[in-house]
Amino acid sequence: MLLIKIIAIAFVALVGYNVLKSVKPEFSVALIVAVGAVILILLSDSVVSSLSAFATLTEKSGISKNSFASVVKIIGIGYLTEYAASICEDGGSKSLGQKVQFAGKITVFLLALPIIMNVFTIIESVL
Amino acid sequence: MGIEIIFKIAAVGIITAVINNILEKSDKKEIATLVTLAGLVIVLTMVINMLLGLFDTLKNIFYLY
Repeated sequence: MLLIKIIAIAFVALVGYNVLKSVKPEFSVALIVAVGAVILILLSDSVVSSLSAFATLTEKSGISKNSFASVVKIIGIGYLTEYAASICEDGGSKSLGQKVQFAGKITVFLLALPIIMNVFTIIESVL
Repeated sequence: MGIEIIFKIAAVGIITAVINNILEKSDKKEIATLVTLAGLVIVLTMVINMLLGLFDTLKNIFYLY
């Protein structure tokens, strides 16, 4: 099962992280970044299948394509910022992680803006 | 796909540590720091290639153009 494989990789990486921390601490953060990338790549095909299922659902329900695309973009941005922020905190600097999360929030807000705009236009047209 | 990158980085780390110890014993401190830098560069290039693959897959999945 994919989950078991990912858990195994995580434990091996944890052991490697601790070994590297005692031997050569600068390399341990690089190991964490690499393992994070490996796990996300392994997860990518299951994410693709779930998103395509959602895509077929939205086509049936008639929601406009670009709003679904921006929702998927927001999910992707959340995916990325969580990855980067947790690695920054793991590497030892909490403030860097919070800055990355703040940047993620801003980009998500920027992406959500057009959706809010056309919600308001719909409301005005109704009134 | 996943495991060998971990072992590669761990191996580079341990090898640089060993070389550093040897160089420090034969009192060549400045070369030891250069070896650390070289090891760090090697590991970072590996990690950056891995990140490139990750960001490409994420870009394709989430239409993040």
